[in-house]
Amino acid sequence: MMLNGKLALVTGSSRGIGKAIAIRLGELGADVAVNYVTRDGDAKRVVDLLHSMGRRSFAAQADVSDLAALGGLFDRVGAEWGALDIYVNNAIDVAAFGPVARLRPDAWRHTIDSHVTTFLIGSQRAAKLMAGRGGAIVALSSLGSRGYIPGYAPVGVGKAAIESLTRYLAVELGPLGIRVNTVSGGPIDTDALKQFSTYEQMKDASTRLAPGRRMGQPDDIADVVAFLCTNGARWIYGQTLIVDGGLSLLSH
Amino acid sequence: MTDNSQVMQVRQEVDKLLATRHDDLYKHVLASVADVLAIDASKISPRASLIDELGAESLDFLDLLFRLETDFKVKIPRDGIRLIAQDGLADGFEQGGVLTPAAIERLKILMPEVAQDKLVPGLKSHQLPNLFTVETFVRLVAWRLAEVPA
Repeated sequence: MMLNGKLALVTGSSRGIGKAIAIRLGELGADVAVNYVTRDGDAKRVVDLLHSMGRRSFAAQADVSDLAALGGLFDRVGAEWGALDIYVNNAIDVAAFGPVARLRPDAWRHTIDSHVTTFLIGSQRAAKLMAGRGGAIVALSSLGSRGYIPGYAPVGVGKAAIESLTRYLAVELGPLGIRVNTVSGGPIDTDALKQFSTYEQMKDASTRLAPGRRMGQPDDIADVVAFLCTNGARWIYGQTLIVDGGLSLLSH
Repeated sequence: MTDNSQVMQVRQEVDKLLATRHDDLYKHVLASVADVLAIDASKISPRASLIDELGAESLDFLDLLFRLETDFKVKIPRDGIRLIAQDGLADGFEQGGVLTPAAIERLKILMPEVAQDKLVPGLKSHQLPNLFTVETFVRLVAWRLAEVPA
């Protein structure tokens, strides 16, 4: 299998896109550390599923928006495995969402930090565990990074920063054999998205307008993330791949 | 018959914690709500719907949860109540946007602060936040402080 023997960490993988990525990596042969914040039951189920595939896996609780906890997460991976081949920067923490005139500094700062500082520090730690063996780092972004989604400024700006940082990391970590890329998704049908009051509108818009004629599913993203971790993507450096069923091609 | 034992356990743990800490938590949550909504705390009654009566929006709920997380050093899942209520429900939490009868039964256990005549068949899941009061957030914080697994 393409990722046989590879060691992977996926943040926020107890549910949604992160879970789909963890499972896909496992299906391709990787051992996967499942990071979560509160959903310990869900995280355990993902670990059990990976075990049933014959993979090594463990659940690691850490709020990655907290840099001390993020450090602790990598300490744990280091202690369990001593190395890493794949780091998927998926988890974020949305503390602010709404009209720009009403966004408050602390919640805004926290949301941005959970995107970009977490990605920076997480990549630094990942690179240390990848020393001597190379690896792949993949971050998650979304269409709100370049376009406008109502209320989405804190996340969109955070994602835009992730896309830019992806390029810097790719240039500096490339010579170490570590490839860094990002997958940017259109609306994906997950529990997290259902919490937004615009969920039904997004679902409706995707189904009617997107060339793909449906809403994105977690596996649509997971398959591309997984590909970027394989040798087939060996010459892709610092890119943001847009995976949205063609939604962003339209001018609305 | 749905097994509601886990939900009952959450209820008991929250009630137990609130037996000694309710007033203390209430004062704090009330102050945060007043701050987020820019309303005088004296104008906020314990049973007032934050959305319907006090003009709160989903942005305000996010901001409120963030402040409570920071102040109490806990993590509160953004869909906390749904998370506790939905586990293991054979027919699911909602169908076509309408809460299932089993979900309603669980919510009655988890949300004693809501008038029981508001938790009725036909209630849509997107209407659930409209039932939230200051007390609802007190119980959410208490749930995390009691560290009952989700």
